[in-house]
Amino acid sequence: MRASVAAEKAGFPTTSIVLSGFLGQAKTVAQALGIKNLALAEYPGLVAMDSPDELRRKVTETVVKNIISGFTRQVEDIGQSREPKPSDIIFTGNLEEVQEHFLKNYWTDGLPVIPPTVDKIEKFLRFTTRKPDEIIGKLLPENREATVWNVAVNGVMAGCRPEYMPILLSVAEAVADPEFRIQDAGATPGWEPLIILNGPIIKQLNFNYETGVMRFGRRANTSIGRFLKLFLINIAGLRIPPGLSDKATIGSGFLVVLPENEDAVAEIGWESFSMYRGFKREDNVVTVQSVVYESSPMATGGEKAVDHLQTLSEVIGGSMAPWTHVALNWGKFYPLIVIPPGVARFLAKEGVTKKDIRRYLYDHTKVSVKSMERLAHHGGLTSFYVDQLVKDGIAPPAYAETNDPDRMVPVFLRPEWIGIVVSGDPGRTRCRGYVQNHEQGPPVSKKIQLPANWENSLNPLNKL
Amino acid sequence: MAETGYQVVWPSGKLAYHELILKPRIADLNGKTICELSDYSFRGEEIFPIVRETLRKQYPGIKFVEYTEFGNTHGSTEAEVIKTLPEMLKAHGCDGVISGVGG
Repeated sequence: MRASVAAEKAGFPTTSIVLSGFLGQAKTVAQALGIKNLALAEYPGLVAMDSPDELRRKVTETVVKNIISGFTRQVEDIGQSREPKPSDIIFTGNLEEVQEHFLKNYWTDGLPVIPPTVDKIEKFLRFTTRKPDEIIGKLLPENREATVWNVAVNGVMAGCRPEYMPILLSVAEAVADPEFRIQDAGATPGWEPLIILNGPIIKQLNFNYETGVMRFGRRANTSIGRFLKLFLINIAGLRIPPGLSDKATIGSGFLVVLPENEDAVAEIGWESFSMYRGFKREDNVVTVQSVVYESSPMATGGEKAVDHLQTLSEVIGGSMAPWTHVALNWGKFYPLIVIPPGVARFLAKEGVTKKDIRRYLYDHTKVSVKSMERLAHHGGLTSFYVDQLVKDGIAPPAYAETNDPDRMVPVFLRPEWIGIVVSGDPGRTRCRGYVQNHEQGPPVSKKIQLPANWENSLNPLNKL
Repeated sequence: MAETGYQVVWPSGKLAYHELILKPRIADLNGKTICELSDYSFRGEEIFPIVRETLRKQYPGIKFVEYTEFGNTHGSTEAEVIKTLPEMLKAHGCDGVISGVGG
């Protein structure tokens, strides 16, 4: 769609061939890029299942007819509807009536929301010196302005405390950064953004970073994770049906915030995740990246460091192998591995650093080219061939050292792209991997800006 | 106890785009040059040749510039392809564009 819109904007009448299941999303994407009535030529059904004869029949009988119609039709001016201003009161009602109104307008994640009243929003605004109408960015696919005001609105709705506002703003900045590619968050694999948190703010706001770190239950972890979901629904316009822009085939629910165990990391002399991202240990930092699926929570064990590393490679790394073709196609892959403090402490005692773990995983975790190409073709990347990607300079030479289709090649594109966070139950040894979706949602980190007198402004009841 | 009435604000944000007025369409495809753009997915490599063959039967004078001339519109080179697209389409003398396959 982006190429089609670019062609139209350059003055070239364009018709786009689109599979049936994506007609709605195509219209939404084009509209948000300024073209309300982009011509679409539907290919009926699922092309992956069609025989060559069936494909020919559909193209000659339906697609070409739609192409001709798209080129020769009259263009209508549909016009733009009027929308409220930020502080307009758009509804008054009791709690139940507010819920029904928000559900009817697809402004929720299906759960009840805290009604966003002006007095509640103003409490959030006290935790920033930024003006409410400051534009943080423009969020595709719906192409709406993210502002300090609507960050606060969605923070209220999610059940955040006002003092979470500095974190909410940094999260909004991260997803509004063009590097993050929020416009791809509705892609068919159905990825979710994960917020990783570092810094003293973890303890100040009572985040959970130990047992059950990825569970719902602690207000800070859970409500901020929810805030991001609501923000992407209401500002980016990512909605499941009857919405048109979230095309996750199956999808999953929002992820709670993942804080690193800063004490454990400092104690064993490892760099924190934020230091790996280029910040100082004492900085408060959010990093947001996509998660398309998780590995099993495999326990590592053994008397030698290599025993643990072998399991990390075989199980955690191995679970990422089915995604290597996607990574290679786009030339980016930033998987994340979460290691609990007990395992980290053991590895550090054996002289292993996070960098050593990355190197081991890169060197020892492999996948066959034949498997990659098969999975790529089934997933719609019907022109994916590893040798061609190497020739085009998209894949590194290591992927075509021979032309044996059964050759094993690295799962991870670069060792330095593997993120490692120390978190979870200090008394257990289960590790987990989080698979990231290539150029869609790469890690984007933002330093959290705290207002003056921050610590004195914190609610003494903030232990829940 | 009487329930409070909540006066609530809009949770969304202002639209950040202006609608483009489209150029007039193509009345007759005969004699026109049609450029193809591909995301190298969803069997575009089979679909585009059939589209060309079928359109040529109906419009014998139609010309095509195949998608291989422009690069992958959805892979790692997407940003570069889109950036140079207007200039490339003009250089090839395009009258219209068929882009695909979205899925």
